[in-house]
Formats: sequence, C-alpha cells, structure tokens
Amino acid sequence: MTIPNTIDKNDSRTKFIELFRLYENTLNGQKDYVGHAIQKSAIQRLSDDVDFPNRKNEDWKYTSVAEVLEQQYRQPKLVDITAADIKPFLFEGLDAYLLVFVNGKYNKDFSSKDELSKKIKVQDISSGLQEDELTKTTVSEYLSKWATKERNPFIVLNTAFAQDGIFIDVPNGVVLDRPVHILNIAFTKDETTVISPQKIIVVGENSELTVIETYHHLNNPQQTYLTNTVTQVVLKRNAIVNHFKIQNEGESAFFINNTEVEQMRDSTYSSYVVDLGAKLVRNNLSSILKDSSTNTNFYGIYVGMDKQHIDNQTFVDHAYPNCNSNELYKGILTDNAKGVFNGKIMVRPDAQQTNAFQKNHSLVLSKGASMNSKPQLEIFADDVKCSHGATIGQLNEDALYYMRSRGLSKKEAISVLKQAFLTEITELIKIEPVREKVEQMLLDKFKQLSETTNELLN
Amino acid sequence: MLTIKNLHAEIEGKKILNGINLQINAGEVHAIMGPNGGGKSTLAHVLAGREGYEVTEGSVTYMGKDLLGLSVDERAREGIFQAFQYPIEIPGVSTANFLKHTINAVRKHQQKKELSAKEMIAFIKKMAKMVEMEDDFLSRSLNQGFSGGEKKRNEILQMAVLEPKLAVLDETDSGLDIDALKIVANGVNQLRRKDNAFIVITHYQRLLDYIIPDFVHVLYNGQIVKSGDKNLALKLEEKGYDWIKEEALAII
Repeated sequence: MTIPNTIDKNDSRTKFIELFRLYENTLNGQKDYVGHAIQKSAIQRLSDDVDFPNRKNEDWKYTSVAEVLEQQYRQPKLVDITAADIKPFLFEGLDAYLLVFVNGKYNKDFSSKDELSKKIKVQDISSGLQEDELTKTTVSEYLSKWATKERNPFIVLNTAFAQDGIFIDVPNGVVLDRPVHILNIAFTKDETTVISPQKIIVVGENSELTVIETYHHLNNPQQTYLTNTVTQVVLKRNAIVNHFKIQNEGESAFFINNTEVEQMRDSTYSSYVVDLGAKLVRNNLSSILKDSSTNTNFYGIYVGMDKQHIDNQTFVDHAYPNCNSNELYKGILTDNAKGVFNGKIMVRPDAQQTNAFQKNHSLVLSKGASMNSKPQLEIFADDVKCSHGATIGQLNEDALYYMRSRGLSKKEAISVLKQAFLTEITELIKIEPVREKVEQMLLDKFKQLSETTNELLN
Repeated sequence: MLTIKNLHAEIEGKKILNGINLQINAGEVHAIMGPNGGGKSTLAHVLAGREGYEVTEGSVTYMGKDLLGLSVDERAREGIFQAFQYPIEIPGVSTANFLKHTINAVRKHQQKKELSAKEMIAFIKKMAKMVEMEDDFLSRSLNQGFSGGEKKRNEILQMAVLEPKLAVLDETDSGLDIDALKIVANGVNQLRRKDNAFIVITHYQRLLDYIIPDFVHVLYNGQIVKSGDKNLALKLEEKGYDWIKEEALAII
C-alpha cells in the first residue's frame, strides 16, 4: 500500500491511515485472512479516492462532520461486561433472541446465537469469515463492495476498521418466531474510540424477520467516541422485515448509521428509527427497489436538546412499477438543538403506478433550536401518486391550558403533549414491550428537557 | 365555599365584569343566566384561572384561600373544575390515559388514596357508564372526532372522576339535543352532594328542568342584576331578557 507522507498531519485521512497502521500491528497472524485484505483496500480507498464531506456537499449542507473528523481515534479494546450491565437495555417482557456487541465486538456470553442457529443462519463475521462458506461468500461480497465501490466515506471507514459484525440469513419460507435484538453497547472507558459494527441481513423468499437494533453506552457521559455502523438488509421475494434502530448513545458521542436496503418483488420493509442520544447523529437510510410491488415504510422519531444535532437522510429509489413508499418522521427540538430531514424519492421512468408519500413534522420549542426539512422528489414517470409535506410548529397552547385545567402541572402537561405529538409513530410499534420501552425512554428524555431548558412556553 | 366580592375583570383592556358579588355554599347549585355578552363565560374563565383575563378589582375566596393567587392547575388540584363550552381535541392522548394522568395529579394533591391500575380502570369505566359512554371512547384520542354531545359527556366524565368541590359548567347545554342534555343533567345530578357545589352557566332555561338550581342569577353588563329561585328561570324563559335590561337601566 502506498500512503502519501506529504499531506497535512491534521488531515483526518492521515489520522485514520495512521490508526490503521497501529491496528494492523495488533493483528499478528490474522493479516492474511480475507477480511483483512478487504480492510486494506478500504483504507487505500480512503487515502486516495473518497473524500469526507464538507458543507459544500449538497447532502451535507446542514451537517458539519468537522468535529467528528478532528478527533484522534483509537480502535476500541475488548471489554468485559456483566449481566447487570446489560439488563437496563433489555426490553422487559420481550422474548427475543439476543445478540450482544460491545464496542462493535460480538459477545458470545450474552448472545443466544446457538438457540437462534436452530432456526436460521446466524454468524458473527470475524469468525464466520474464516470458518464458514456461506458467510465467506455472502459477507465478503458486501464487504468488498463497500471497500471498493461505495461512495459514502463513512461506509468505507467502517469497512476499514470493523472488528466484527453479524451475518443473519433467514432461509426461504421461515417466519422467525421471535424478534432478534441486536444490542450494541459502547464501553470505551476513557478512550476516544471509533466503533464500527457491521450487520448483513438477508431474508429469504416468503420469510419474515423482526430485528431490533439498540445502541446504548456504559461510558462516562462526557466521553467522546464515534459509533459508525453499517447495515445491509436484503429482502427476497415476498419477504417481510421490521427493522428498529433505537439509539441512546452518550451525550458526547457521534453516531453515524448507514443502512442500505435492497427489496425484491412483493417484499415489505418497515424501518422505525428512534434517536434520543449522541451529540451528532447522521442516519443514512436508503432502499433500492429492485422489482415491482414492494412496500417501504420509513418511520422516525428524534428528540434533541442542548446542542444535539440530528440529521436523517432517506432515499427511496423507485425503479419498477407498482411500488409503495411511505415516510413519516416526527421530532421535538429544544435549547440549541438542530434537526435535519432530507427525504429523497426517485421515481424512475419505468416506475409507473408508484405511490410515494412523505411527511416530516417537528416541534421547535425554543428560539435557539432549528429544523431544516427538505423533501426532494424527482419524478420521471407520469402515472404516479406522490406527495410530501413538512411542518414546523409549537405546542398547542389551548391543549396545554385544557390539560392544566384538569390538574396537570405545566411540566406534566408539556410532557404529555410532547408524547402525544409522537404517538402517531409510537402507536405503529406493534410489539408492546418495545413500544413501552420507547415511550419510557421518551418520557425520561422529556424529563431532562423540562429540567434543563427554558422553553418558549414559560 | 366560594365568596366573590366586587369582582372586576377585563380582557385586552375591555371591561367585562363590573363588580360581581356572589356567595356559594357547599351543597348548592347556582344557575347563572343572562344575555350573550353579559360576562357569563368570563366569570367561568376567571374562576378557572384562564390567562389573559385581568382582575382589576375585588376578591375571590375559595375554601378560605385567595383563589386568584392560584394558577389554573393549582385550582384544579384544589377541587375546582370547569366544564368547557368548546372542549378542545387533543390528538395522540387517549381519553383513558388522560383521565389517569389527571386523576393521579388531583388525588395525589388532595392526599387521597392512590388507585391501583385495576381500581383506576374500574373507576373510570363506572363513571363512563354513568354518562353512557361506551368503553371504546376511552381508547380514542381525547375528543378527537367526537360529536358535540360526546364532547360534553366527556366533560361530565372528567368532572365525575376528578370529584371536584366546585364545578363550573360553562354552557354545557349548548348544541345538545334533548337526549344528550338528559344524560349530561343526569350525570350532574348523580354527582350532587352535601359537600360540593355547582355553578351552571346557561343561556336557556331548559337545562334547569333537569338540573334544579337552588339559586338563579342574571348576569348583565358584568353585574348580577337579579337573583331568585328556579322560578326566575321560568320567568326569563317566558319573557326573555328585555325586562331585565330595562330594570337594570332604570336602576342606573
């Protein structure tokens, strides 16, 4: 590998290249395995082919990653956790297959992989790439693609530094009896680390899977770290996937979630994104519709306070006829929090009879908070139904008065109204323990809001 | 229970109440009638604590406390309830959940026994039955898509579960057909006790056929110009308000 020595030492790429050198030195005997070759090509891409974005880039107009890139990152260490550590992160009353990742590294002690393996194929990537044929073929295909073709620099970055991941392959005709909960825990002690989990999920024809990804941390809240996660979901013909991404990272964390979906004929993919934590959040969610009669649902909740910055970028690529996509994102911003929503919908010439709907509604509750909402519909077919709408508003004062006149304190009334605003989405969560947990997390967050903020309504 | 003395109030600089005096004791039902624009609803709002109404003179003492010094939610927790003329729709908050929140808030403040989840549901359902509300209303968003009559019954339901000491019904009968009116009146009658009181604000006498008041007051030009028993309401129904207006003018 040729790495230029002349570039500015502060250049983020130089830092990552240096970090990769350090990382390689710790690998010892594993340098030759297929995964490492892919990682080498990824860092090579990063050094001479892909650029990290700046604000001049249209898709990054409202989100600066300068602070993310200026950190001096380390690869995370292997850390032990206890059952007591993970307990608060589980869904009470939910019978799920649990897969635990600590700092992006698979933790077999707390995972129910053996049980799950009786029903579907499930393999942690680092050992699977060496031992297992199916994992080797499918996974290395995606990893290679990310390393050599991907234009999103954060996916390339993830590919270079991933230490582990999970590969889930649901065979044809299997409706998995319970959800799979992928619990990601950041526990980086006092190191500024880059955590790079990978998930590759393939769901066979006529099969159904519910995946709940959660992102939590055991760090000191002031600890800076980056979670840069990549998920690939493939839905074969008539497959159904419900995909939750519930994020509550530390308040000084950066969180970048790259989720790419491919949908075959008659498949239904539903995404439920909940962002509560992290200082900076960027969700890149895209679904590429590769055949007709698919359904795509993107739902999202964001709640930002202090200087949180939460950016949702969605993309649905309609290339075939008779496909439906439906997006609804709702969020609440206070203090100096900033929200961004950029919903791109492409309807290509062959995609007749497309239904594509998109809505983004935000409550902006303080003078310092702001929301940038941008629908971006590019329609090249004529027989389609497409719509979009965005609103930015405040709490309804009459509703607030009504609730107070029934004895709720102003603080309680505000909290109930905030929750009510998000009910349109939370009520779509049909798994009760998940909905209850999300509602509780929202309430906990609202409590912080009303304690720390001086909102417009006072 | 409630003593209103020389109460003057205005909204956006416009004088609405011009010296109201009223004494309400536990166990009584007072009807307040009068032509539109006389200050009936303003009185209800001032008692409930709505922002935007400025009291410029006078006092209101409730259970020995200065009522005007309390915020709207403090008043509610102290046992004052206003049934609104136009109840607002609140999407996303189920009626049952809302009732639970309010019951908890009020009971906690009044140091009443906390209800278990089971007791809470049983209590709410019992009261809902009293105002002939089907259980499925409880799971619907508060007032959303409710008919006028359903909204008013929901107000009475809220009153029933919060067990107020003083309830102010602000034109609860407006827009109701006779069946809905009977249901609402029946709810109120079942809640009448020796230790609570009601102020029933209405434009028409017909509600008072079902809720029999102990006193009837006529509010005109921001003052109570006439008081009497239920027969005063009948006379108003028969003769309208003009004679009251004339009498009031004659006094001035």
